[in-house]
Amino acid sequence: MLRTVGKRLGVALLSILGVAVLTFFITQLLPGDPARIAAGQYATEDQVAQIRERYGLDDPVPAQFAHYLGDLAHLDLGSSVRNDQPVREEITSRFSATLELGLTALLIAVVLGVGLGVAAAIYRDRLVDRLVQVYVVLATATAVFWIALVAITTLVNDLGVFNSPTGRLPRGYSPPGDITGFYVVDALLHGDLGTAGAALRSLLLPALLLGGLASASVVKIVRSATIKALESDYARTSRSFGYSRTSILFRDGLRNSLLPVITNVGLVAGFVLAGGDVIVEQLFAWPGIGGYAYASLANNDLYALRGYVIVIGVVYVLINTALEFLYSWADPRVNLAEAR
Amino acid sequence: MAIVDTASGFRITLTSRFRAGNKTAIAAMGVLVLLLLLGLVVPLVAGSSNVAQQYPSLLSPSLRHPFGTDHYGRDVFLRCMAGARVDILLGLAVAASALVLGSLIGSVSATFGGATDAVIMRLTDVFLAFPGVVLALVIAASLGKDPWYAAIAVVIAFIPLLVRLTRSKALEVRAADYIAAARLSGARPRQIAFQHVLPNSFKYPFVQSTLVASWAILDFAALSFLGVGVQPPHAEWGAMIADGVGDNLLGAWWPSFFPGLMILLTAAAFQVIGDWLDRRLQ
Repeated sequence: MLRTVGKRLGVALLSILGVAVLTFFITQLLPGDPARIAAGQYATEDQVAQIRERYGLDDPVPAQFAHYLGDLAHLDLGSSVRNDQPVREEITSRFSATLELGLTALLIAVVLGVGLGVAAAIYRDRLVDRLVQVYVVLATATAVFWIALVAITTLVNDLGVFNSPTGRLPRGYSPPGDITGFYVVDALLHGDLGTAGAALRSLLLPALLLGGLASASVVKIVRSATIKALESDYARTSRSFGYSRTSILFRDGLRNSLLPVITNVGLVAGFVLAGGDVIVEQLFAWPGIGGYAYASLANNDLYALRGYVIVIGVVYVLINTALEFLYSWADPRVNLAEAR
Repeated sequence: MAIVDTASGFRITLTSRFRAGNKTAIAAMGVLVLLLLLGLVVPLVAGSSNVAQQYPSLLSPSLRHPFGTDHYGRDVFLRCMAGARVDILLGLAVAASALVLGSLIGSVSATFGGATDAVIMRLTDVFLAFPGVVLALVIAASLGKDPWYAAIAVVIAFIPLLVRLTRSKALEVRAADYIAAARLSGARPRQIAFQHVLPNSFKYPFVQSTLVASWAILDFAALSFLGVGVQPPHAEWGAMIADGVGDNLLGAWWPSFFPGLMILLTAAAFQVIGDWLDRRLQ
C-alpha cells in the first residue's frame, strides 16, 4: 500500500515538473517575442532591450531554463513586468478569495448535478428527464462571460436580487478578521451576522453561475450511471427481494453512480478554478487569482501570467491525484499501481 | 412504432426518444446551415457596413435594426452575421484540425507501441495537466494577439483529448478477432493500421470532434473576449460581447446580448448533433 502511494506521488511530482517545463516552452520558446509582447505595442526598441536585459532573455536558452527551474525550486515565480511585485506574493494573497468562490461553485455543481442527474434517471424519458436534458445542452453551450453579463444586468441592476458586482463585500463593509480566509466563515466565527450575510450575498451569484454551468457534465454522468445501476442485476435482485424504491435508489443506484462523479470532479474543478473563473472574477471584481490573470493579460504581463499558469497547473495535478486516492478508497477494485 | 424482425424473432422497438432525438438533430443542423448561410451572404450584400460607423449609436432593437446598434453606431445584426462566418467556420476548422492531428498521433501511438507510445502518452499527460482553456490562453498570449494564433492555441488544447480517445479505441479494435485473422493471412503492420484499425476506430474521435466544435466556439469566443483572439473592429461574437460590457452599464443590453445568443445557438446545435451521433454509435 505504502509503495503504491509513493509511486502515485512520484507520478504527481513528475507531472508538476512537466507543468513547469511545458510552461517554460510555451512562454519562452514560441515564436512570439516575450519582451516585445511585455513591452506593449508602442514600446521603443530601447524599452524592449531593457526588458530583455532584465529578464535575461538574451542568455542562451539552456541557461535561461536552468535559471527558471532554480527559481521554481525556491518557489520563486519571478516578478511582474507591470508593477515589479513578486508574482508569488500577489498570487498567495489572492488565493483564498478564489478558493472561497471555487469551492462554493464546486459544491453547487455537485449538488445540482447529482440531484438533476438522479431525477432524470428516475423519470427517464418522461417530462422531467427531457427538461433536464435541455438544461444540460443549454448549460454546456452557454458562454460564462455572457450569462454573467446578463445576470448582472437583470438580477442585479434591474431586480436588485443580488449585490452589485463589487467583489467579496458590498461597499461600506470591512473584511472580517482573517481565520480561514473565507469571508462568510470568518464573519460567522466572529459572530458578525451582518457581514456574513453580506459576504454570502456577494458570493452567491458568481458561485451560482460557475456552479450552474459546470453542473451540466455532472448531470450527464450521474444520469447514465444511475440508469445503468438501476438496470443492473444487483438492483433487480434487490427489487425481487422486495426492497423499497428509495432503498434501491440509494443503496444500488446512488452509491454506484457517485464513483464516476469523483473522476469528473477534476474536470469541473478545472473549470471553476481556472477557465470560467478568470472571466467571472473580472466581471464581479472578485479579488482572486483569476482577476489577477485577467489584469496580467490585459497589460501584456507575460511573467505574471506564467506564474498564474504554473500555480493552476500544480493545483490541478494535486486535485487529480487526491481524486485518484479518493477513487481507489471508494472503489477497492481499482488498483492504483496498475492505473496509469 | 415496433418493427418485428421475423428472421430472428426479436422485437426491435424504436422508442419515441430515438425519433425525437432524430428530429432535434435535424433541427440543429438546420440552425447551423441557416446561420452559416446568413453569415456568408449577409456580409456580401451589406458590404463593409458591419464595421462602418454609420448609424446613431445605441439605438434599441427595432424593425430597421432588429438587434439595435452599438456605441459606435454599427448595426448589431450585421455584425452578428459577420461573426457567424468567423465563429462557425472557425469551430469547424478547429474541430477538423484537432481531429486529423489527434487521430493521426493516436493511431501512431497505438500502432507502434513501445517507446513511441510511452513518449506520446507522457506528452498528452503534461498537456492534460492544465485545464484546456488555460492552456489555450497562455499559448495564445505567448504567440501574440492574433485570431490565427488563438485558433492554433485552441487546436493544441484539444489534440491530447482526441489522441487519447483514438489510441484507446484503436487498441480495442486491434484486439478484435478480424485483426488477428488479417495478421494470420499475412497482412503487414502498416496495412493493418491503415486498412483495418484506423477506419474502424475513426468513428469515435469523429463523433467526439462534433462536441469539440461546440467547445472550440466557446473557447475561441472566450479568448476573443479576453482580448487575445479577434481584434477590433472585426466582428466576432466574443469580441462583440467584450465591446458591449460598457454599454450594459448604460442600460443598453442589446450589443452584448445578441452575440451571446448566437454563441448559445451554435454551440447548442453542435452539442445536440454530437449527442445524437454518440447515441447512434452506441
